[in-house]
Amino acid sequence: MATEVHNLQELRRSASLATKVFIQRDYSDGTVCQFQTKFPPELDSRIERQLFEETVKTLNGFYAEAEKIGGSSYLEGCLACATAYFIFLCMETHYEKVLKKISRYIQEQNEKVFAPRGLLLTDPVERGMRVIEISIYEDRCSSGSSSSGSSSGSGSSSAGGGGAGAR
Amino acid sequence: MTSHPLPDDAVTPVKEPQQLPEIPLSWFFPSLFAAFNVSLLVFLSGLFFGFPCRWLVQNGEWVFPAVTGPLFILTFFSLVSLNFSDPGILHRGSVSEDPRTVHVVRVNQRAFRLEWCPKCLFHRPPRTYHCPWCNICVEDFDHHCKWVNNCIGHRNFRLFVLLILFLCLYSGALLVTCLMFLIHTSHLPFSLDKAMAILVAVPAAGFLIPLFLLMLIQALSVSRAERSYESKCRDHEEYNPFDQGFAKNWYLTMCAPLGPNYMSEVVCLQRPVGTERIQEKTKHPPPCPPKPCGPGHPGPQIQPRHTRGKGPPGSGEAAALQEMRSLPASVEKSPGGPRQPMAESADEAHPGTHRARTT
Repeated sequence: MATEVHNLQELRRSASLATKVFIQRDYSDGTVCQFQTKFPPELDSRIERQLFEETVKTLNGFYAEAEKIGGSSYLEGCLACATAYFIFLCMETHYEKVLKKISRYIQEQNEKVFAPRGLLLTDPVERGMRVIEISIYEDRCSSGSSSSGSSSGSGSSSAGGGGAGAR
Repeated sequence: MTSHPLPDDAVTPVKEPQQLPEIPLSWFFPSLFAAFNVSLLVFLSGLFFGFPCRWLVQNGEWVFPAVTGPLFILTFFSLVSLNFSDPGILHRGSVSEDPRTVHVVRVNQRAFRLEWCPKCLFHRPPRTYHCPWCNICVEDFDHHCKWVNNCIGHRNFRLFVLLILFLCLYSGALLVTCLMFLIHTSHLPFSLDKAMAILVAVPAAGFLIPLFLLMLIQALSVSRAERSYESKCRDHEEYNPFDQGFAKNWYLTMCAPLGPNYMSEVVCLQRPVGTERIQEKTKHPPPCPPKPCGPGHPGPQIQPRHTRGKGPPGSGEAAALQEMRSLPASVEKSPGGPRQPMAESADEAHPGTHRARTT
């Protein structure tokens, strides 16, 4: 690639959005928040499979940590129920602390792993924890070499809804 | 229950300045009804504490105010909290999602086909349904409660259960206290205190029986990990993949940590749009910087849903009556009613307008 874009703001300004890939939820363990680790084919030429799977598994680990039952979170939940949840007005829950950690992790992964490859990982909270949205950008500086020749490629290709759900 | 007609055009010039775009007043009457319910609770409690309870205190009976006072506080704050709580709104999804994609997911070996919600533009997760009154998709949707003018979903179902419990206890305490007062004053001539005691005891008894029945129904629903909306839509009894046993069901419903509060998270986490030429997004520039150190976490339980400055609290005193009537209403309205108001933002499904659909 001709130029590497490391700044997220610069990435958004200089590149045009080509398509979006959605990583769907994995409901096999009930409604615990987990995402599928199946590698989407749209990212085949963009990022290594191992890096992608490592990121998704780390996110799944964070969400499992946030929702686990046992220890202090159990006490926190029972205490909240006993106080009719008024304790939430003056206390930050364990889940919120993990959410902040997830947000920092996604920011870090975007800067180090995804942005240099023209990708942008969206926090699942923005999509209501339904999908992990990955935006694929085409670099305008190398407009001749990329598949979409024109500079304005916004919304040119129909975005797929990711792969079919896990059967 | 009285049915509310559609807002009259004559009301509009009085309520709103003419320069502003015409806002549909369909949100007003449900909010008024919810405010009336809270006022009814406060009014009856005022009569109770002002007359029979005062007499009992003056005669040395401290047990009754010691029980009913905290119960009133708990009931009132549960009621107000439920009015303003976030039911678990899934805000509008990305416009890039394809509605024709078929998503079939498995939850504990049972297949769910994720339906596409045309108003919220995403495939609804399991147990997520679109509320036609609020025009939002609610996670773990149970029902729309007209008494509190709010949906009951994943994030506030525990508040709802708690409110029903407190209302039952409070109504029972009111009834017992008034009866004890009437027994204590049976030898005295009829007075204003007695009239007030009867005036409080009658609605307390009237609400107690349906509230108790509703509490039993809710306890059964929690034990089986069922939701009333889902039960109404199901044709036949199937294996419930969400059932994880009696104790764990109660823990997950009442004590387990809730997910993030999407409505507040999404505002803080908005990124600048840049060259994304999506029409709906460019109309609403994101207010937050691109690299937030940590998203703000306002109170997870209380989320004001009335963004128009009108947030009157509601009452759950006769929630049982509403539950009996709202269940078929939810089934009737489940295909989605006509004349749905447009969402204010592309990225957020604001529940700003609520239309009363009482038949």
